[in-house]
Amino acid sequence: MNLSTFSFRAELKAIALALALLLAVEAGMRWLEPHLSVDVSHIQEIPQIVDRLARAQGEHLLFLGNSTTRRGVDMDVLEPALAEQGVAADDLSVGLVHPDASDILDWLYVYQHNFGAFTAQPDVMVVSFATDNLQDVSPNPQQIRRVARHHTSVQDIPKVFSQDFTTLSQRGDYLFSKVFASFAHRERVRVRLLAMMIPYYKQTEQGLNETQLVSQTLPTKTPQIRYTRLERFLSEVDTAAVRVIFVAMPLRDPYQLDPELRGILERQGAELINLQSVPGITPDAFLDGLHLTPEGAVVYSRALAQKLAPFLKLELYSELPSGR
Amino acid sequence: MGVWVLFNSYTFWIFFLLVFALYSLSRRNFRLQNAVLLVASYAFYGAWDWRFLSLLLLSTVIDFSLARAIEATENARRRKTLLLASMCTSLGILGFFKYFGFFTESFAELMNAFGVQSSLPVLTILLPVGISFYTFQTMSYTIDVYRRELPATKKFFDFALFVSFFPQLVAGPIERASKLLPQVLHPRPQNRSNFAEGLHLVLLGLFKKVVIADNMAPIVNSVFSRDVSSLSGPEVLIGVYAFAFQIYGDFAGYTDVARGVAKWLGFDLMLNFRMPYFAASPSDFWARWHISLSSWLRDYLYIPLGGNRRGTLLTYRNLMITMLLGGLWHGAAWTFIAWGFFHGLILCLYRPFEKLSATTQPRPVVRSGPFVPGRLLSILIMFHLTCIGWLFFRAESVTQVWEMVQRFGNLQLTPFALGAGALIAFYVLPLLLYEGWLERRGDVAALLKTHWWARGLVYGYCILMLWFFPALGHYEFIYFQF
Repeated sequence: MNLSTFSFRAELKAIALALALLLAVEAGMRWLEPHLSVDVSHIQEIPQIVDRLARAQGEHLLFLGNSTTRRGVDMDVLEPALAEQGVAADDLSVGLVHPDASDILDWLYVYQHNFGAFTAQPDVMVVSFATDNLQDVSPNPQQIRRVARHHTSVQDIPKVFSQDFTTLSQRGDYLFSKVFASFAHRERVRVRLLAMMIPYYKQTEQGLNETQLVSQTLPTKTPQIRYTRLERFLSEVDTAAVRVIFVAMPLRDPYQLDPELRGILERQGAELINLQSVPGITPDAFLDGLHLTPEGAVVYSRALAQKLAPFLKLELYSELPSGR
Repeated sequence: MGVWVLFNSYTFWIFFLLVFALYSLSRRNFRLQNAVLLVASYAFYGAWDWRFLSLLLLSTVIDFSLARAIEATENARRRKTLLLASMCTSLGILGFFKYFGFFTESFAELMNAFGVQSSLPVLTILLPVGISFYTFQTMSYTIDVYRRELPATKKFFDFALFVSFFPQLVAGPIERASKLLPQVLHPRPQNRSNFAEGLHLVLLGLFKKVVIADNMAPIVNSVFSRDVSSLSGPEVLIGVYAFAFQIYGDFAGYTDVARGVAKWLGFDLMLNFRMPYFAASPSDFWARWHISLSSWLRDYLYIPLGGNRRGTLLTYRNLMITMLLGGLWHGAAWTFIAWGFFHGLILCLYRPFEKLSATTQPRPVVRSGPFVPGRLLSILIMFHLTCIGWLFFRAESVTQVWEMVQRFGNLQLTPFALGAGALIAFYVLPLLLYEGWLERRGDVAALLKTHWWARGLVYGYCILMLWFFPALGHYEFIYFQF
């Protein structure tokens, strides 16, 4: 084809206009980012949560988890329930960190990114998990973007690329998400826009996702179940100074706790509380297969308080808190 | 699947940047450029499975040698024998890798139907990617040499590049030697518009694949994997519509990117799709869809069979044979044959009306756009006939086709049908409007001739859609399985 009227300068203008549109959207996204969703505003608030906890009086208790923690741990129930068990509310300061859809990969980097200084570490950390949250699972694209945007800095790139994001596709997604907020939040924007424009969008998407889960190749688990990220996480946390308690949360469908997981936690000096089966939590107590209803959260929080209380009393009343 | 092969992967673009850099550094020596491209093409193909490089090389060596032997002799019988040897080799390779299992299974089923146990060997054969494309490409070369339409090249490595040129190796277009070989054999002048044309093709190609095709895939998979009795008529229709745009976006997207990448390297590959869903008749459709294959079948099968020169019945026979084999080319399954049969049938059924229209209506002085009422109706009818064909193409079996057709009696408009239908409209309507405009202008490259700001807005839209609306899952290119 001979474009006799072709002008290279005009072509550059066209490209510049296209890129200008993208940059305008990027600028808008950076301005809108804190308001994009409850989850994003929570993630952006994590440094303040950690800072408030570090400055607070009393024993520092950090809950680390994902949306199952957000839905399952009701502080208005937990604190009075702990008080009933002998843990006074004034003796305890609580922080909750629960990025949606996060797992050990996110928690590892959240911890590394926010708890660099020894004095910033909590006294007790309760990590709530379910199913494969603690296993080495191939990172999904949303997770890569989240870690890039919120939980790592540029200095972390060599470590991230050598240990967790090892393929070109993962690294490409990571770098784009590091540079562009709009790329990092593309799924949220997509879901928001489609939910506004498409009738019955959530139902339709759920139906499509169910088919995908059955037939589509999602990021696959490694053939052999491994816990290298969990081991890195535990080595990151100074378990001599921080009591780490892992809590297996209830789901509608029960799951097995791997004996190897128990072994690792025991060797590393971490505690394990199994709350998969809580009296009063029935299948009706779940909004979906994963998240508790408010009523279910009440039951769960009471049960959690009952199980946590002995560890907290040991920390609070049997020995002086370290560094104080 | 080797990720280099996927145009929508980081790996491919890093690969291409390296190749382009080396290619540009070699610009003073086109032989060196060809060497760079040949090595890159073999590396590209080997990234999928290095073991099948030998097959690609074998096909290249055989057809290069046989073409030279054909040209070297004036003996008609010997020329024909050599041509047959070339065709048997190419079709033999294709037949073994693609059809052996299908024919043995079908034969065994036939024997079982007569109560005879068959003990034919069962082999699990991996289909080499692109084999249908490059075997047809090399066959067209030897046929053209035989017909004396093209001289046989003496340059083996240039011929090897013609066969293995990586942008079009695995999913076409099926290039004619008369068009691509001269570009390989001679220096390629730097044309300043190559960059613009390449960019236009690459952006639109990625849009078609990543935004359209990959977002249609979950809808298609959802409809075609469900128990048919649970589907309503509108849901079946939505599934078929989604597949129509999935296969178009997938295939046209891939070839657009292939043409764009080739353009950046200074090569001009043939147009393979020309707004196919604006076709007003079956023959019009086949002048717009997978043009490289349909023209190959026309020139090397339909016309040698006699074309339309031997009366009506033989014309119908030739059309049916051509379309049946065209269906079989796509894959070793009865559904593909049924699809080919269906297209042959509608070609035959439309033929009297097209002949009547050609003799009774004056040639239009002014090109009418797609939105003229009479033409719009023809386009809509043809689109839906095409969709019936796609139902055969996508279904797991002919039984499933029949079961899905029966569901049209259930007119329940479910939330899924409404939601999925709206999703299809969201992704596809802008493309259809754009292609309607191209159809009105009668020029597939009309965007390149508009004002820069119009082009900038279209490119901006494509980039933003690629940015925010890639599908959440990963989907292979459909035509890689052919």
